[in-house]
Amino acid sequence: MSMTYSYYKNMQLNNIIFVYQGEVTADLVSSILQMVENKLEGEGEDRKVKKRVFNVMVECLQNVYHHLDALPPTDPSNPVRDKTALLMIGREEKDYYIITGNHILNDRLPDLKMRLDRINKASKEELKQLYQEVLTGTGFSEKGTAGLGMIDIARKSGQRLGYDFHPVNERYSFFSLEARVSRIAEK
Amino acid sequence: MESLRIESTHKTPRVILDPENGIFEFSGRSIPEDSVGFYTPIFEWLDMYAKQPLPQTHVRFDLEYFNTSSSKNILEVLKRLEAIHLAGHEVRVTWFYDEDDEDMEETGQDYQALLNLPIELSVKVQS
Amino acid sequence: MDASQAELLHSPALSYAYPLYRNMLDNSIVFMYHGPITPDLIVDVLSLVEYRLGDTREERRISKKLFNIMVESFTLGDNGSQKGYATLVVRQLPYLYAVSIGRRVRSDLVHEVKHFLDWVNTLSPDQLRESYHQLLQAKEPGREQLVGGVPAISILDLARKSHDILLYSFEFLSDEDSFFALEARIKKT
Repeated sequence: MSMTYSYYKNMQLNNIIFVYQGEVTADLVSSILQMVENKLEGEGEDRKVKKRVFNVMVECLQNVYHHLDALPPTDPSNPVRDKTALLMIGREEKDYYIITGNHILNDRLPDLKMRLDRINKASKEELKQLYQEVLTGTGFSEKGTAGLGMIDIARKSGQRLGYDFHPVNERYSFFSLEARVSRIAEK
Repeated sequence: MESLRIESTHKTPRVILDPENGIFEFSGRSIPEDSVGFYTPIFEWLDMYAKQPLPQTHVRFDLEYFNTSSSKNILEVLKRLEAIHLAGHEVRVTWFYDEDDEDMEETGQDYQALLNLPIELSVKVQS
Repeated sequence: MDASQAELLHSPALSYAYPLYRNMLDNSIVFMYHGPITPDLIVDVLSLVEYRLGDTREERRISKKLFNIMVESFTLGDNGSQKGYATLVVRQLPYLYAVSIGRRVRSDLVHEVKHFLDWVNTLSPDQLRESYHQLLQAKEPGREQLVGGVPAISILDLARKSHDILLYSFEFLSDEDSFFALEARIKKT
């Protein structure tokens, strides 16, 4: 109860609009998207910006879904038995940011990091090329469209992806991914 | 006298006040930002209707949820109906609530206790 | 662009994500919001909560209660939009649900609010109903009795609907401002 103030302070400090922690289901995703859409609408945000935030968010949630899907179903060493994730939306002066967080197996970490770094180093043109490579199966992706998702997020966001790995135990880490969307509408 | 019809939104109820057949309806949600602003035209309409009411008026309240600022305004609506009833015209109020919604049932009981007006509580059974 | 430059592009919230996740998990928090609390927002939060609840009779009863409480909570979060935003926290525990609203309140009103809440918490269900009826009939709509800027009737309404004591906390910020958090709980039966 007395924690409420520290949440309030932290959310204010980090410009967080909302945070969700729990399962990620299709119904839930649609109601979260609806909430964000209404929120942006209510704030009179530019239509293009609104659309971009929305698209990036859809893709981020899709990405989380893939990661959760890749987790072994009943693993006693899994720090959280349910496949729960974190979703956070914030608004700064110049950008919206969307942060997702989920557990991943440690052995997937080097590969994930390599991909993220490659995406972040790529120019707009290279991203496009990378996207096509993965789409046609010549680029990196061993698990469905997971690799494609992150490239897509990077393309739609137009900015570098932020990420963070937090070790949880010998088998798992918590992976946070941040995508930013500029509030300045392109001409 | 013309009927008053307000379509529902996700924050305000659907309101039908029909002086032709004397059937009134309030249904949906009532959580407007400005509840006084929303209910004022309804009060004005009812004040007009009270001058020449039909011998029988039937009012249905079928509300999903509402906040306390609306509950005050609903009390004001009911008070106007009570005045019509006390002036010798038949007014029947039916207060619907979901079988799972004990708060809505309790609110109906509140109004029963506060007013000299026949209010029938009617449970809606979930299919 | 080297790593340190890339770092600058991240919001500070990125490194806060894991501690926040752990904290929410440990405190069974499902959802947190910071901003102006409007009826629109409440409607959206409601649909979010609805999806988390199942479709048994008991869960429907709980979700109705939760709705009713949240609908009222926006009245509490409405701060005349003068002194910044409010925080809405929804918790889901195995045996109860809790909704809390945190907002700023004038420091000179803290005593009054605390006093009122303590009084409300001593009331029996019958006494609560009686006090609620009195306030409902008291004045014309739009001119309500306020306790620390919050309609007194809203607090009574929450107490009635939750069938439990209201939990609260105050945090002194300055001579002008304090932070006030109020939590209504619904027990699962």
